[in-house]
Amino acid sequence: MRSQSSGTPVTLLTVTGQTAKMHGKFEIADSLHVECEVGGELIVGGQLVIGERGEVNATVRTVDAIIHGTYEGDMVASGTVEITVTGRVTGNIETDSLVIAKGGFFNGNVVKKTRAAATHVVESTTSDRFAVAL
Amino acid sequence: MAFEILDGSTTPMKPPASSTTQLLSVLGGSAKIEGKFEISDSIQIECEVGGEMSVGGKLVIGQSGVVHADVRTVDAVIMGRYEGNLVATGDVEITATGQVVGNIETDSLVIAKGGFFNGNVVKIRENAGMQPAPLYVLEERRAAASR
Repeated sequence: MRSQSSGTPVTLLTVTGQTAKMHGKFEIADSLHVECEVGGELIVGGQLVIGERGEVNATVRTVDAIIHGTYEGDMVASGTVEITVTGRVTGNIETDSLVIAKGGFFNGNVVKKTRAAATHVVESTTSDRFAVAL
Repeated sequence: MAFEILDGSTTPMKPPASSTTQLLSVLGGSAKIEGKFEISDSIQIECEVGGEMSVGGKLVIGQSGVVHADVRTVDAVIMGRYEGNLVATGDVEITATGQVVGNIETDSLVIAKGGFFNGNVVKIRENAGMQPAPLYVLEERRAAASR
């Protein structure tokens, strides 16, 4: 878990209860944890966590993403994407680092984000940099 | 090449019916959310939220919350800024730091001293006989006179 904000994290929004359904545009500077139904467009400046009970059907731009629940849509992540054992993903992911745990489900395309950017990419344009933990 | 089963416990934990599960939380410096919200229980807001909201329990707008939305709720506590039309079947409370512009439909409205409200108040059960719920504006600490 990386935290790039300087101060201590402040809780900006909390939804509690049995069920919740949201649809719209979310612009979040830091992190978001979802355990309910969310749709629309998410722009997250830190980490998006979709919990086991989370169902997200949205276009996402984020740094990191951890998916324990269900995700459907197009995602662009400048950091790391992790699909855990319980995670189910349908759609396209644009990232440099994708981890799918054994049992995790992914159906769609993966595109490498920084084809030529020189963070630690050599010259491979194949997807062999994706660490798929099996 | 590691056998990485993250989050070891796979036991599906269905929470008991009455528990207050956290369904969504946003952390950080700033957040702006616009859209349609349907929430069975409660929501606490400390950021910018717009759109349409339907809350089955309590809506709390914190001191740094700014809400521009049409809201249907049971109870509402407004410590921040609210603009829009609010229908509350329960109680509405505008605290000393609360600022509300818009219309409120409720049977019970409390505005604390210092709280700001500009708009109309309509009673829900205008002629529902029995005991008409009081619509009152309470000046907290009135005895404390003018500061």
